[in-house]
Amino acid sequence: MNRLRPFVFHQPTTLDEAVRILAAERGAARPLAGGTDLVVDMKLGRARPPVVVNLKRIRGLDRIEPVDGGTRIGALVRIAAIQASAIVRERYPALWRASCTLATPPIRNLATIGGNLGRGSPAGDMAPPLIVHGALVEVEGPGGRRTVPIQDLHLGPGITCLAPGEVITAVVLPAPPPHGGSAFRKLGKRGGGWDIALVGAAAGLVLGGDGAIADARIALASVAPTPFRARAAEAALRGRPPSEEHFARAAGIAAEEARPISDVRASAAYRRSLARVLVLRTLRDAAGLALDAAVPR
Amino acid sequence: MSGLIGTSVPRRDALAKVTGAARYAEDLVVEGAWFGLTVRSTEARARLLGIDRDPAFDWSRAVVVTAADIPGENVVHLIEDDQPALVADEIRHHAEAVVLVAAPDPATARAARAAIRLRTEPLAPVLDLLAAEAAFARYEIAKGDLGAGFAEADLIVEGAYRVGHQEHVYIEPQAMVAVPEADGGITVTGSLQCPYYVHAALARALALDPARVRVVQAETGGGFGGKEEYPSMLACHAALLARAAGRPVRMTYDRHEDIAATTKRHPAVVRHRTGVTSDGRLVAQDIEVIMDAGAYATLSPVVLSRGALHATGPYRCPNVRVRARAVRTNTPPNGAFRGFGAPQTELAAEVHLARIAEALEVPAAELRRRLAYREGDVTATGQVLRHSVAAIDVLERAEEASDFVAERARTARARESRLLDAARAGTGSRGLHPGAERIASGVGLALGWHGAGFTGSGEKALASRAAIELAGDGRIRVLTAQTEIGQGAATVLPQIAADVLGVPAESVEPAPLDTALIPNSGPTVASRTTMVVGGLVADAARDLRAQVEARAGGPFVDNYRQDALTHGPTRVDARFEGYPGIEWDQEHYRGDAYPAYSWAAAVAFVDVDLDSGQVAVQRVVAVDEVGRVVNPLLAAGQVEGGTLQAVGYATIEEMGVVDGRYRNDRLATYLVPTALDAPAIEAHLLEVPFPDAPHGAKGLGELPMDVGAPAVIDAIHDATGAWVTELPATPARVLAAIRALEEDRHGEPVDEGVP
Ligand SMILES: Cc1cc2nc3c(=O)[nH]c(=O)nc-3n(C[C@H](O)[C@H](O)[C@H](O)COP(=O)(O)OP(=O)(O)OC[C@H]3O[C@@H](n4cnc5c(N)ncnc54)[C@H](O)[C@@H]3O)c2cc1C
Repeated sequence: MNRLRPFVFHQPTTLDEAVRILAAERGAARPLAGGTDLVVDMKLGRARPPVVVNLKRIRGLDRIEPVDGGTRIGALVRIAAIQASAIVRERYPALWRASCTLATPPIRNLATIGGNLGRGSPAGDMAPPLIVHGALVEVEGPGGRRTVPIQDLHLGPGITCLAPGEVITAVVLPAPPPHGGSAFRKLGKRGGGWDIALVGAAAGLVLGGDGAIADARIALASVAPTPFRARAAEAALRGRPPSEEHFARAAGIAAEEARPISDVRASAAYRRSLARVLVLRTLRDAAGLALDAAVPR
Repeated sequence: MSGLIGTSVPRRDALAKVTGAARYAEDLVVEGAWFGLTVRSTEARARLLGIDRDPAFDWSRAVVVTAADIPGENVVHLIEDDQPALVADEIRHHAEAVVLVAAPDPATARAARAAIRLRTEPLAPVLDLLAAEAAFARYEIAKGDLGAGFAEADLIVEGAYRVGHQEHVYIEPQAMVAVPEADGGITVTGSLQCPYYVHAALARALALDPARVRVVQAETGGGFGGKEEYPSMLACHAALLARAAGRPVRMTYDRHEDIAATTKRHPAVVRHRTGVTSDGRLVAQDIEVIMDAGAYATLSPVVLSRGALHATGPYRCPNVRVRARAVRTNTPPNGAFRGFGAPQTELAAEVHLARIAEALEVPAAELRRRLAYREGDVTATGQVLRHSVAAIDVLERAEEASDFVAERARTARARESRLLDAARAGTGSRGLHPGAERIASGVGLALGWHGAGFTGSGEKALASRAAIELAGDGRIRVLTAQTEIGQGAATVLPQIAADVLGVPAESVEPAPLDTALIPNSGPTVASRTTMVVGGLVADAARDLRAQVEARAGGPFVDNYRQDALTHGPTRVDARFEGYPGIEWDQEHYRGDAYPAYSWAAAVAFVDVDLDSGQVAVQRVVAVDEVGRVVNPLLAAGQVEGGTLQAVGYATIEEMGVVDGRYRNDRLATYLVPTALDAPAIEAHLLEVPFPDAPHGAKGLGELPMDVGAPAVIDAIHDATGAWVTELPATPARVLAAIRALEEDRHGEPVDEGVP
């Protein structure tokens, strides 16, 4: 049986206190949310923090609430709560889809969105849809509060731009654009789709008055050291009609831009193939929703 | 007979298991037991130069055992006696046991283990089965004149098939508790399949009089063959530590250690070269089987033997050569696993037969019907199949139950229209329906056979003994060495006895699995329990009934309690004498390889995502003919479980080896089907009784494992047109096969790397 090594456990009830403890330990301390990543890593000896700071006693970080036309999702919001949220389901389809296929119900009942981002995994399911939705990450630290665009959060596998003492407090999603649609899909080693992503893909499309694509966003998981934004593919779609031909081309470009590696789960070449398939499929899904939204009511 | 055969008597072990009352090895409270751990090699091959103990650790808190401390022979007794209990000089595989430590608590034991360093000098390992030269066993089966057969052929079809490791994933990892006895003997209790294998190994390694060795089976959470040989190793380890510590020692593996160190299903390469006439006869089968045994022989010679004997598939062919070898590599030893070599070779045989049908342009089901064994046919070893041959029966029932012909017509139409769409859409888009996903469904069929009981003269050599006892208090017990490992042995053997005695099933109990009580009725393996030992139990029960009825002058059921009181206990032992007319020539591999065969067919329904290569197995219709079905519910459970294990083998179970180490050595990376991945399985049981067993039963446990995987591969082919020739059919392999085919069809280069 894998056992946890001894560690000092703090359970602060305020954010300030948590930040103070974390900052004092200068990176030796790790925040704990759902623990579905951290505890596993500690058991396997991949993480050996001498100090663990439980964030779950801090109030107010587990709410989904409207802000300035957009939506603020607290860092301690559980994936199951995102899945159950009508606001997310209606306004942020890519994020909602991702919340439905992240692991299994028992994991979703524990896992938080903050932990998913804090982990800094290139395979995490939350980052690609948040990139597509244009989210900002709210961070609280010894130097006060700052916001980080989601695509700047990740620096490398397991590495984020958070300084010692900084914690994620929320993600803020702007109001979804009118005549837009978004989607998320992933494929794992099992057919069921609830496995860690071999590749995950999110796409967002906004249609202009002329029916052409005014804006496109494509983000991928598990194909690069960080969640990957396929900017060349996005550029190839702007100004084009939402057609199968252009989607297929963009998907091919996205697969070329990606920088997958081979590991225990899949080869780089297979990941590239999947990236193309999933980008194509999410673009179709997103276009379907955007076209529905564009129909005058 | 009280008509109990063919009724679903409830499982005796069910209530305790579902209520949590069942006591597995880890649940046993053993006063004062220490905790044992293993120091393992981290190299595939190396010379062991020394074992260093960190002087900073207080060694008075732990005991340490090395090869030098083994009182008896340093072997885990099985077939070849080549595997040491602990490495003495050469490390031959990764995760090999080198040193044992035990301490009063787990933390101290872990600290002691961490304080031991192995000093080694690396040696060049052999890791690839095709590059391996040394073999633990080689067999050649020959029939007819191969050259003449190929000369007669209109067509020669060749194919090569490869399968990887499979892990048993029994729900309870290996566990053992050893207790030293005052008389210098040892009692070992644990999770195991074959108490007398463990017994023999302990006597040998500890240099003990067998009478001083006692082996008891704790409640055991599954085996699938994985607790056939390895428990002997772990029992020796626990016993060696218990002797050294002078107190009980408990050893329990966690899942990671269990996967890293214990046996797997043998990886294999099987090559077929087949001569076929244009009217659809097989005239020559030349088959080469290479199995990777790993670093030690364990059971590889017999696994290979069964693999070779099933390699032709159940098909008529006058000229056959099967050459088989089990090679030595520096990887952890492979061993017994449900099917015992047959799933590997039958996969190859079935996929190859379907490819022959494709080459002949006849439906494979039709070709199977024409070629499959019928009564009177002669196998590759010259065995005349005299009775209970049911290949055609299972084939036809599987076709009916799955509506195979109509389903095949439906998938063929879908394939046609996809090809048309692809042609219309041009090559550039690879035939994408605008806006649609390319999910193709396919239906696949496989036929198989499985020899029941030990191979060749094995059962005769075993000379199993089983007994039945009417105790002085009127209780009736069946005494065998057959372990309950979830398959129902503890229910079925008393059920067979009760049927003969004419008493209710609950009136007969299984004796505790304790070598101090039970006779050696052989191991719980080879689908032999119900057929062979069940037959002995029936014989013994018949004798007991006759004795009591002669004394009482009336029916057993009305008189046995009184008889027990007045006459005292009666025990009847039955010894296996051999089935009539079974002759086997081990030297030339000729004769009756098995006393009887069971027959199976499976039809698998799959959906294949043509762009990702993902395969979802939706439904399997499994038809198994097993002689008389003793307990239909338990039998259906075996069919369902074996089919699911075969589906996992075919699709997601991939171990992988990197530098001689298992790559997917955790359940996070070694995937087995969950409820979400499991297809709907419909089990159909057919009965063509085995005339030479008193109760007519043949073997069942392994049979479903032989046909599930080839049915899935055939279904993937039906969906995609592509043959996947390597298991498991991972999405990457399926996609590569589809791409290769599309490239063929369009004559255009593949535009990106194919894994
Ligand atoms: C069986 C299983 C299946 C899984 N499947 C998936 C899957 O399909 N998709 C997927 O994306 N993930 C999956 N995961 C990973 C994991 O469940 C998710 O990443 C989850 O969202 C992590 O959240 P948590 O609250 O449990 O994080 P924790 O384990 O508590 O923390 C994770 C990391 O983030 C840090 N952290 C936590 N909260 C914060 C914060 N507010 N600010 C800064 N840093 C913080 C921690 O210090 C730690 O380093 C799976 C895990 C398991 C065990």
